[in-house]
Amino acid sequence: MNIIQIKNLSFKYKDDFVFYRLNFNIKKGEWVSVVGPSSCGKTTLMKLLTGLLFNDSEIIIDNIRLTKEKINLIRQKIGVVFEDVNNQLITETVRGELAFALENLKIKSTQINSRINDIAEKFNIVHLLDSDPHRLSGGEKQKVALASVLITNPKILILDQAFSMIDPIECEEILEQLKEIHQNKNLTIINLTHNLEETFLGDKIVVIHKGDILIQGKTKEMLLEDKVFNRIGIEIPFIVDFSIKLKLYGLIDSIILDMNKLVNVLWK
Amino acid sequence: MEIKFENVSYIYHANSPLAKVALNNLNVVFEDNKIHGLIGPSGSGKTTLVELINGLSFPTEGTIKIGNDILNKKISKEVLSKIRFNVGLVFQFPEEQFFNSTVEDEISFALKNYKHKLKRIDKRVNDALKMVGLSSKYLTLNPFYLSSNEKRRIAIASVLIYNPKVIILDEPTVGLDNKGKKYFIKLIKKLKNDYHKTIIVCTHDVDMLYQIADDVVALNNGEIILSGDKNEVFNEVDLLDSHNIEVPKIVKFIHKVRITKGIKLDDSKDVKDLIKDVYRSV
Repeated sequence: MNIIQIKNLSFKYKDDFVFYRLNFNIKKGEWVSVVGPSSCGKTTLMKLLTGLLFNDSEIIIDNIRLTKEKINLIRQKIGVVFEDVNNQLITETVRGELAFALENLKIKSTQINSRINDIAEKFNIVHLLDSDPHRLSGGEKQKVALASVLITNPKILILDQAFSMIDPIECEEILEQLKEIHQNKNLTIINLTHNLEETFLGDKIVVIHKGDILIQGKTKEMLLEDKVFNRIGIEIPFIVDFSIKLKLYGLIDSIILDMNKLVNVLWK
Repeated sequence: MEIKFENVSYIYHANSPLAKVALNNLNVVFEDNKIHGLIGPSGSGKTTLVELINGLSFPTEGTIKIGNDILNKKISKEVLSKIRFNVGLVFQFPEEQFFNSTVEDEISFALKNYKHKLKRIDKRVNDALKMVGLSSKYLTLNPFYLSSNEKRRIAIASVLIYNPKVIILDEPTVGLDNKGKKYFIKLIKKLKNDYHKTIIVCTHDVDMLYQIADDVVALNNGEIILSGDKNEVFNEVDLLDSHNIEVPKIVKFIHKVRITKGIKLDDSKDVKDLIKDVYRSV
């Protein structure tokens, strides 16, 4: 079942089209990585899906046509982590930041506290709970923003370059946590990114270029399209580049994204 | 221009119940005309350290020598102004350094502040824009409405225009795609080789750093874990790992093969060389 349907989406800033008759669907519980180079329209797509930008194109989210009248209803189903995280942090403490949406939803304070403790532990931010979010490092801010969105249990999570400042080791851990939430709660994830390493745990990759979908398919199949990524300016991660070349040399049969596994396959 | 940290500590909200040590007794030298990488997990103190070099904050304890000038909490306004002219800082979030409504005003702001003649400023604005690979059509645009890639280039141009001797870049490749990153790498190398700048790059992107840096300083919890030649620092895989600090993927792979299989591959810098070496040894 499709949770998001985009039908003939066209959108332009002044005279320049960002999208022209774009069509694609996202299934409920799917993790889709929308990949494209800078200025390809990733943030515009996020804004159109969340009603921050409007036009007459047909966007259906969880069976509701996105209109100005229905936007509040739709926003209750969607959590967004913005690229510019500073715009998203509004309270004086991390605890307040995590509680903010729940208080607005009139959830009991005992329940709020227990949900804060759970999510803070999951994303390793317990030690930051009493800190001012504006004084945190870029990576810490992004973790807090992600936790403050997930605490409301959205049906759909949209990430707009949301891991760009988190260090790689922690990013891997957070992606693993997200995978667990995605599986346990059937959370639909749309990750808008130009970092292919963030796509490894996802189900599907959609590549956007010049206002349209260039290619799309299952993650492992799409990662083999190194020539396409090179052509549009997307960096190929070491493990993908290395795997593809090892496959060409006949040293492995299919690409392997786990380094330990790759070493064990090469030196059996 | 050399930068020397002598017993430098920095405490947020010092002498209050909210006191938090961000940097603890640092001693390190950033040598002249080199590209220095600064690495460490989120919240390790990287941004605090570079803000100290630019005089945005002052050490709670200790002294920073920038060339012949001394930066500590007793610094005079004149010396501080000189240091800020010698040290250009490109912020982690470019928006934090923008406050003009056109790219032209943004880039020219520092020079106007230093009272340069207007005719000369025009030329230098165009030169700075060209150096970051943008055309003059950007001059009239609002910097806040540009893509993150363009914002970052404008932020770099607004520092390059006043020709500082030291350039600090805080997470410079965030928001850049591969094309933007390659251009940036070329620019940094040019600034070192042709313009003899001292460059400090603060980043999580260790793969990029492995290509451009001479030296690397690894920080965790406000303390220096390792510093020195990049190859020596990155070869300490287990130590860095124990501090949650990533090493370049190629170094990690070579290390893993040595530890788990007892096979020593050459220290390759790129995948093509590594493949040949792997082909020979499997």
